[in-house]
Amino acid sequence: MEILGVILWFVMPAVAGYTVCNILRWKKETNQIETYLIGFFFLFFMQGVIFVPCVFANLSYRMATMGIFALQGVLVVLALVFFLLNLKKKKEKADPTYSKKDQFFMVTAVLIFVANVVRMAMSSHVLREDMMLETVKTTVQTRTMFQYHPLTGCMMEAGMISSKKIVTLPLFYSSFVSMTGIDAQLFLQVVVGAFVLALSSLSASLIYTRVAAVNQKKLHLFWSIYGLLVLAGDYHPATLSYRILKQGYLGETICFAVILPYLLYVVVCWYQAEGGEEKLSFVNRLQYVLKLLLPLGTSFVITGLGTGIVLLVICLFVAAACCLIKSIQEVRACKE
Amino acid sequence: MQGIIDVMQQTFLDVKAGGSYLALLIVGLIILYRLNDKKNVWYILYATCILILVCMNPFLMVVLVKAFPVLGSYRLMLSLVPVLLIVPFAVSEMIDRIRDSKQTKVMLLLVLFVIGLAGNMYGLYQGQTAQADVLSKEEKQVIAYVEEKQPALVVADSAILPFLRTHATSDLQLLYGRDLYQANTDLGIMDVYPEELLGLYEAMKNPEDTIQDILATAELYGCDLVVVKAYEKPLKKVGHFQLAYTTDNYLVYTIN
Repeated sequence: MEILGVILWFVMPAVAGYTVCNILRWKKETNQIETYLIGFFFLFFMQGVIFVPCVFANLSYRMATMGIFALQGVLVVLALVFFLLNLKKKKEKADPTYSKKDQFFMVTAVLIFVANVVRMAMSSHVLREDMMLETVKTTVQTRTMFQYHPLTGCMMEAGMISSKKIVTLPLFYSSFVSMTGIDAQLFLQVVVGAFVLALSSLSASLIYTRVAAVNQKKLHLFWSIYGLLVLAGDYHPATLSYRILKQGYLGETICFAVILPYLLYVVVCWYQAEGGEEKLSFVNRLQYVLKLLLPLGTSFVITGLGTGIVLLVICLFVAAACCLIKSIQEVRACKE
Repeated sequence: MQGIIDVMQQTFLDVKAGGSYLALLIVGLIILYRLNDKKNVWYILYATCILILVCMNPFLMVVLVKAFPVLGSYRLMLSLVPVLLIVPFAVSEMIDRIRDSKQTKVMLLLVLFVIGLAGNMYGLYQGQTAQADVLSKEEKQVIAYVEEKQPALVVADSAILPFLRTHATSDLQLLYGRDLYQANTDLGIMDVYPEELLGLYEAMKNPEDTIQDILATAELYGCDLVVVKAYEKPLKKVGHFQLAYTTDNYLVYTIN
């Protein structure tokens, strides 16, 4: 059951991404990595959409958890339907072949990833001041949701997060821990940590694929170096590498490691599309807006508005910089 | 203006002191600029990274941090986002251009060495990492003792309270948790708890003078195990409580 839970945790974003991209007809515009990331954002956004009303409505923990699993069930069914529909249209594709050099870099990337996961498992002792783990453990133990006063944000259960905001991420993790029976610490520290590390390297590599001619070898090399930087970069508890290695399950880590690179990627894509020969249609622009709003919404939900505001401001600044650069290029082109 | 410059200086010092990842970023940017033919395409990436690294930090500090004090802690995290984007990018492009396989391997080893040296792979920065967060042997012993006793309700010193919640495997019930522990940052909490409990929490900070009040209030709430900071000449018996276990830094009182 535990292994099944871990597999489900890694597979669900792919299922959600496949369904969302099919519903919104983004199949052509999004590659597999982006589809997976969109699925991740969608899942993490929807858990907030389900849990926040449940907290306000004083629903039981069981009811809220059922809501999460119902959502996942619907996503799986929809994904199967779309898969069957697409199966008819699908043409046979040749399997990618890897040269020995490519294989070497692929193995290197995998080994470095494994080294990072081992490092995560070995550093479980640092979880001294961990509110997330405390909340997950308490929720699983008491089978009750933490209840907040809508105005003060006071909590009623001992050992839980005290804050003037509702953070539903611990409940989301708790639902998985309750369902699978996996050890909460192992789940947060290793499973979610490895998940966030993988997502963050995927998210960073998206920008790379957009600004350079990338082949498999270069992509694997990128992931290897990214993994190395994370592995060696825990010299200070405030660094991003430290957070990915030891507190990857925190909302703020996900914001900086996964969402921020993806937001930059979308802005770069939009900028490049605007600079293309064909004028962008309203639908295309709407697509970019949605791609920006989904991760931003996710960042708001998983941090209880906190870090999401920072990301929003960064996004606005980068967009402004893009507009400025595009204007300068247009002026130069006119002069020429 | 001086404030912004100070913040920028501090940011760069933080990053530099952390492990020279900033130097890697600069080298990465230079490599990318030298390698690529279509330089115009790269402006957006340069602008993005430099914008985040240079402009956003003072902006965060000066404007946002005043409104949201918590955001100051993200300074270093934000600074290293461009490092994680640019350095793998530059290394991939550089190694891709090398045709000789021996040179590729040498270059990979060199990169491994440089990243390790710039970061903490060789344990050069152990002194300033989260050594303080490590669960000590003494605290493990106290947790093991508490678990062994299987108490109905526990009051614990704030230094060991997070350990009890995080590491204890049994169904341990705490009279109060992190809520009171963090009460100074959340004023709403104060309205929830009765004055006696808030008084108990305050008394736990200095048990030498207040041990009798602590144990009396704890008993009132139905607690049968209390962990307090160690003090000189501890009382062996107070009311129904007896001193059951001692370490260098903690005293455990229980009701038999």
